[in-house]
Amino acid sequence: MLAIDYGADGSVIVSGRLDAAQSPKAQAFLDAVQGQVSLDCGGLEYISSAGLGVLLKTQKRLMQSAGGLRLKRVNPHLQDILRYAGFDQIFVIEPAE
Amino acid sequence: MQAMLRVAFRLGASLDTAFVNVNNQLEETLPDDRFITAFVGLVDRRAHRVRYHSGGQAPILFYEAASKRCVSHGPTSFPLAAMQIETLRRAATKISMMPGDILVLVSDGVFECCSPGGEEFGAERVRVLVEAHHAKPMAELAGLLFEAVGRFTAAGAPEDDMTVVFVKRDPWMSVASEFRRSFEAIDDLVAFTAEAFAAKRIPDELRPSVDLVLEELFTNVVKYGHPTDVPVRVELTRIAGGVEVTVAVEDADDFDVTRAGPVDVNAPIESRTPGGLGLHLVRKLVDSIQYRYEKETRQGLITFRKTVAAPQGEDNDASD
Repeated sequence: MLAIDYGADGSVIVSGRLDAAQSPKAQAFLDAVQGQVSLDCGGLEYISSAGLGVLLKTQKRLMQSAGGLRLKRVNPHLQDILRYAGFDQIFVIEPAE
Repeated sequence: MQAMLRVAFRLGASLDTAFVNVNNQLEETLPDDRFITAFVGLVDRRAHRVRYHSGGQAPILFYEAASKRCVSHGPTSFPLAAMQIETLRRAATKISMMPGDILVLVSDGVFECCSPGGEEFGAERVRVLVEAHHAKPMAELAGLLFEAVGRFTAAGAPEDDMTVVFVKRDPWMSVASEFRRSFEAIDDLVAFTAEAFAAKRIPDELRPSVDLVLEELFTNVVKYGHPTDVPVRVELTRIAGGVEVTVAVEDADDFDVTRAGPVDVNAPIESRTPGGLGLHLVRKLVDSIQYRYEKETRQGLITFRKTVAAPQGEDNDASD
């Protein structure tokens, strides 16, 4: 399952699995965000190409208005996936501590 | 004969072609009064199938784990070298071979050995023994058969050679399940791999990568596959240091996932699209991947391997 919502500090907190079944839910939420957005991925266990597509679409939209997504607390597995997809050149990625 | 068969298969001959040509070569070579009863079969573990020709070798017993019964199959041809074959009269016999099933090949020296009273051992005694002891290791099962023959013949000298071959699909290494072609089945797929990894003691660190590859292959079928209600079958097999996964898609169009075009992951964001990214990730994450399509049955088989020993990423993708 996937959970996505705003945190107390205004960042977007996403957790669970961002797979093909859950991507529409994530896309619907992220379609509403604006400006510079921190996406807290500390609880995100998994992402597939469908989830990467959600991030890419959101990033493209935000960059058109000088905004963007910053991916925070990304676990090593997700870092690998983002790097294989070339997303380390598209997003600012902060590894999990 | 074994050498000829091995060379034939090494050169890519089909089962039919190998059987016919080896027979014809033997017929030309051997004296007219010589012939060979022979079983020539190919086990396809991924397709769960054995295909065979039998030249006068029968009965061929097959233990089905599902029904816990042996069924008997006949030969497909006369003994090898008996005469030339221009066209095979019978197609190769195909048997579905699932985990736990046993192919029982026993020469007529066993079936026809006699008791002191002149009674033949026969196939029925073999069948009863296999059904009773199917769970034992195959070497032990063979030993029990020879012990039974020894008791039956009162340890009399055998009149013919006695050859026994048992081929068993290991029931413990694999687990399989079927999934309807829907994104909603992804949760079931994830639950299946979690259970299979735990049950088969597959290193859990591989699970995120295996889940991702499976999801990409599965959603590819859901999105682009031939519309049908036939479920997708997924089988996980523990191998040394990892797992082998086979995705079987029935009623499928021919689409080789290993030949999907490369993705330029260095392109600027303006020109990036998610298209093709899934199969790109698949290639990055697996140790190896193979695709096979059978036109006759319209079945696509994708098999990939993932182990803890192999490096991830850059070294796995020759297409980039």
